[in-house]
Amino acid sequence: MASGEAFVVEGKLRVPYDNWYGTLASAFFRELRDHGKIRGIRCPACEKVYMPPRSVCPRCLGTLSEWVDLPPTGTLQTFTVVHYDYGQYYQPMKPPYLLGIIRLDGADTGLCHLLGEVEQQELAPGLRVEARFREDRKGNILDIVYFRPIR
Amino acid sequence: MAIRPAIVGVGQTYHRSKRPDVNIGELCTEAVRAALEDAKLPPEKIGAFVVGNMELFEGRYMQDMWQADFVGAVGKPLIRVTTGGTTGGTLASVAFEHVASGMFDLVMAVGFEKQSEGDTRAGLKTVADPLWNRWQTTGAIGYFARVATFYIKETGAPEDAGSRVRLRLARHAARNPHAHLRMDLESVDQVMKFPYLIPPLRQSDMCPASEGACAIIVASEETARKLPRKPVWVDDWTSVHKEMVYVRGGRHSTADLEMAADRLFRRNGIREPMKDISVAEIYAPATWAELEWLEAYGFCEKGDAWKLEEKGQFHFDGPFPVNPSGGVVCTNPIGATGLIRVAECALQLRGDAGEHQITRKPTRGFSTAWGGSGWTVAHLLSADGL
Amino acid sequence: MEEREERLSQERIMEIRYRWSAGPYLGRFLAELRDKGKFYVVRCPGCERFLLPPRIVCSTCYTRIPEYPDGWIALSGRGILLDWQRVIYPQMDPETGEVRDEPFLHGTFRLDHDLLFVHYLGPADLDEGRLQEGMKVEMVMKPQEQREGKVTDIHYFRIVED
Repeated sequence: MASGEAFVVEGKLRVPYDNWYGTLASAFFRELRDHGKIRGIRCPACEKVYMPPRSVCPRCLGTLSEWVDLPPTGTLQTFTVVHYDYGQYYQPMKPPYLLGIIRLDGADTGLCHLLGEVEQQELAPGLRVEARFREDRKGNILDIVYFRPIR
Repeated sequence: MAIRPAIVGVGQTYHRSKRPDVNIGELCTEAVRAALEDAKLPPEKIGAFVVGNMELFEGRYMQDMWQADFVGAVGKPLIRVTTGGTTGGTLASVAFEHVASGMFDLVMAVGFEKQSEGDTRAGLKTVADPLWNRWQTTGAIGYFARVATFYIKETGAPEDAGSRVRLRLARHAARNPHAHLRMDLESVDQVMKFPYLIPPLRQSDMCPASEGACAIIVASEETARKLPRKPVWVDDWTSVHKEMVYVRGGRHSTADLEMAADRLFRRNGIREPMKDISVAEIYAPATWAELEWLEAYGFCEKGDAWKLEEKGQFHFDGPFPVNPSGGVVCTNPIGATGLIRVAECALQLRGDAGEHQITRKPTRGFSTAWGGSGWTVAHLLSADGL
Repeated sequence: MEEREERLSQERIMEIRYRWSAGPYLGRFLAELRDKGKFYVVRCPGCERFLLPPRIVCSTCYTRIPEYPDGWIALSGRGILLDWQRVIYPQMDPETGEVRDEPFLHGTFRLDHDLLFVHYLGPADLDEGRLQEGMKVEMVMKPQEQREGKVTDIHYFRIVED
């Protein structure tokens, strides 16, 4: 090894994980998987409807249990185009793809998801969108394929 | 120390190998609510948060960002501490420092681990240097098998010494509703039937992989005196890093434990540790380490711990109770484990430990955390009204 | 009851690639091991300790260690067996995600200058029953074409019969 020559070792980490949704989010994903339905949860103290749902209110730390059925329709809040390719483990599909924050009708919070059947030029905050569900749903957030404009 | 900190509330979840009923945030909420209830404080009173767990066990980074919502920290200062096995101990130290500095009046420390979500042994291997010795590490089991080997060799302890420790810890854990392994073990012979992991280390000598969380609330002296719980005073704390394992050629050393305890004892005028300290909750992930480390901390002479164990000295109702909670060998949610030591010490000093309350008059408590074969965190607590 | 209902989780594999810089000290150590089968240590000019592996500064007396070859000493590769452990439980390699479940032996060896070193004790069919503390051992390198510039370029340490 000559002076100034760097000795660099190629390495990697490859570790499997199994992350649990918990009781409340499991119920949400079962409903999505089995019935293609989206539900939010209401905090009675703050009068906010969280979507995605959560069992603990971040404002008052109270337990949330009041389910609210939500329609698959909502409003685009903002969006972006993802160009950078991070590799298969970290992205839902090969870039470029469109990501938006969608507030479902009746929810007080936004859901980040893919946008489809739409050109970037058509996107603008306020656009009305609807969820397109997968046929073979597996119980995760990609059971919604993407949100598309209501034509 | 500028401001004297006190522990004014503690809380923990129950601990199991798997908690699929909750996600990580929800697990933390359970401990946070328990601590708030114990301190009789509403969440908005807490001024700052210190949260932590061990890297790579769950495969999620920047856990602090996700946890803020679940511990009541939205809009407040929150920092994450992740110092491996010592995480829980460091969480307490940092919370103490937040208060001692005068910056915050009420601080919450929250530690957790959810080990079933990843592969703990694979995660632990990544602690080692990938260029030097990651290939040869066998995780905690390999390390503690060597501790057992050396302890037997150097002290002449019999092969069942570890099993005696486990028997004591099992009896303690059976009295602690929060403990993970509450096994009904009745004799040393019964413990000796557990299979070997790496001889002479048996399965019964080693801690479980637990899921759980712990939270403590630390207050300034002025605030602590106004709160309903009897305050537990934080007298001193320290941490010691020793030269890393590859320098020592893989030979284990207890220099960090010796230095940490020696520093605390000297600074606080403790000359006869077993007399001056009434309860120890030490972070020992294996039974043999408990024996070796009680000696390293200076509680007894080298080679004496196994003899004192045989005499029953370390039982919760004995003269020097060690790990009356059942210890790490019965419960190990890694990022919470060091914090549980502090919380359990505080409960003992308050007299609120319930069925595993020590019978000796609680005066001072000693709690530790240990990690990566390289370092120790230690705390010295005292009961109110001494 | 909600608790009795099916609980969901998400299984996934996290794979991240790294490029670890060994630096001029450990890098030289690994290069010499790979290219010449030489096992180097350095002696601290300040406290005169032998350091394994070589590094830039002594961690106890803070003396700067000279770069290769000044003060670098090649060990003989021979030593004494101090203790050994049979690793019998399966464990995952975090760098491949694969589980290794065949038992193997780890040994601690006292090398030249009283340096302690942990490595495999081999070969694979070694009869553990005849092992004794104090036995002489020697380093066995992998064939040149299999070496990668890693500590595992040392295949194992074997017992040397008197």
